[in-house]
Amino acid sequence: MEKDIILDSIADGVFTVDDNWRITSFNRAAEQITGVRREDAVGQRCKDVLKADVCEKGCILRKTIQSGKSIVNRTVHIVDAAGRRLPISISTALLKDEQGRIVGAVETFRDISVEEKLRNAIAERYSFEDIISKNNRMHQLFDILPDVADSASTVLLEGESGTGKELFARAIHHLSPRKKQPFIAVNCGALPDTLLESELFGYKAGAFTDAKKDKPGRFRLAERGTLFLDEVGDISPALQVRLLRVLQEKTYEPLGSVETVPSDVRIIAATNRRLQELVKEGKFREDLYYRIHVIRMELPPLRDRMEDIPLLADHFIHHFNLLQKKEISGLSGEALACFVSYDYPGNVRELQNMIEHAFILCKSGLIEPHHLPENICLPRSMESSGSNETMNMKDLEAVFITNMLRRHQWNRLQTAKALGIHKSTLFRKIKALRIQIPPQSPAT
Amino acid sequence: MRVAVTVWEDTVSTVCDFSSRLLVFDVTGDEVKNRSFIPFETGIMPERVNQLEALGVEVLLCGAISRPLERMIRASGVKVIPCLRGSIEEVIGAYLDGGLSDARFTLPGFGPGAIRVRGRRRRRGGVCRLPDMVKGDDGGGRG
Repeated sequence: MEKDIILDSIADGVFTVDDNWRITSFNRAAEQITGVRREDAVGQRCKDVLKADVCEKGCILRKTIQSGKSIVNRTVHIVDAAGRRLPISISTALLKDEQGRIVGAVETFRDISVEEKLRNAIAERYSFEDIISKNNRMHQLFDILPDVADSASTVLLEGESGTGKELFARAIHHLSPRKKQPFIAVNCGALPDTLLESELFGYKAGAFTDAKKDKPGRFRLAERGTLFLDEVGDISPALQVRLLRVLQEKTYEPLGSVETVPSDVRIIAATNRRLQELVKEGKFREDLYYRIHVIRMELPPLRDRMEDIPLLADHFIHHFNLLQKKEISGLSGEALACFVSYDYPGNVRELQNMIEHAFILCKSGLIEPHHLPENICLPRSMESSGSNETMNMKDLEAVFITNMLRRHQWNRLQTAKALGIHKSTLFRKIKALRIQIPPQSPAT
Repeated sequence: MRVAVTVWEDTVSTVCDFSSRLLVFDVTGDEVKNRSFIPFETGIMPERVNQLEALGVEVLLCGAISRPLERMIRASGVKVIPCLRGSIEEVIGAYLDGGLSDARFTLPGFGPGAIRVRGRRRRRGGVCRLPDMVKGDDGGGRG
């Protein structure tokens, strides 16, 4: 009785089993989580009460009894009495009698639905609040963002892959009068032409083989909201004509339909290519270009806003700390030196991937250069010394200069200019720091 | 009539959502014919539903089941008799005899009387309708 009072005071679900997997005690929190009453649970086999995915495939209590080792915080899923699938975190331990003989086991568990939801929400997608920058060009874009959002005009976002075009598109939508309506994104480059056409405009039953029932297109789904057409430069000339018609006439016909459907959708288009050049090459219709190019915003690549690296790195560290339940405190000075001297062809997305990479290797504390992908630091010192050794100022300088050289295709004159030093100073440093220059690299 | 049971070893699998094996058989009058054990799709829910449809299953006997999966299976025209436990042979026998309402075939937590699950009273006849409530509308009972 006293034992029950103690168990009931615990917030986590707790039950004990005998050596036949029959439940011998079951506390109040366990009742709440599983939806099974204590009197129904006691005496039953634990798998019939807990109803977890591991019960029949790899019983955790069985493993504990067989190995004699506790299992801590294993995430499993159960189906409760209300038919909900819940993630729970389970820990187990052995129960022994006075002689030390194993007489059963105890399992504690807690509902982690809230944490899992939070994790999913974080992992699913960044929101427009994640656009962070202290760069001037970015701030100029931030300044016009509310006005751009407030207008109903079509927007063209240009920028390299990974610069955050979709984030900007979402920001425009969320700041616009259409914010309570849907935001629908389509990657035009990811779908073949025929599929893209049916995705955008939908189809009627019988329009083609397997079209058994009507399917609304993205234009329909985005009605009164915003349609984000990513990689718009990749769409075919035939589809460009159809898109032009929607923009001009605000109407379209689903595939296989004879009816014209009116469309009230704001278009935000994005491309990582120069649309104007595609127009010159005859690959993109000029009339469509001018329909899209009402407001143009060019997002700078990350290498042009290097001052944002520490901010973004902190942001992603916070993000992955939440997501992976870690306590990484930040970047070491050496790691930051590597980060700021890299040129990021993949832009912010690449930076995020690097931090994610570091989170796999770094257990706690600061992220160090040896936690980073090999290609971002070319640490001459790391080749000669153990990776766990701390770099000294000389090593740090070597890493920095090496990365700056690589960023400028090993052109020493351009690198010297970028560093703000005379070329002879750079040559002297290269020699003194024993930096290896690839053969046939341009000196100037 | 084609019936399927989710199985684990020689018993009804505790949770339909996590089960990896089916016993499928045909019922003609009092007879059980064409018994076969087959793997049950372990991927996403729609795959499980599609498999039951493809097998021509009309009645599914199973243990606990999540609300979304149960709804999807029912929506595909399969009758679901959930929250069962016990040996396969006894459950099949009880199904044919109309005896699944016996408490020994009901998983703990799904018998008469319900407890509050985090402030909400679980509705009787919700996810796990008691077997005697489904008997008669599944058409598979003998009595």
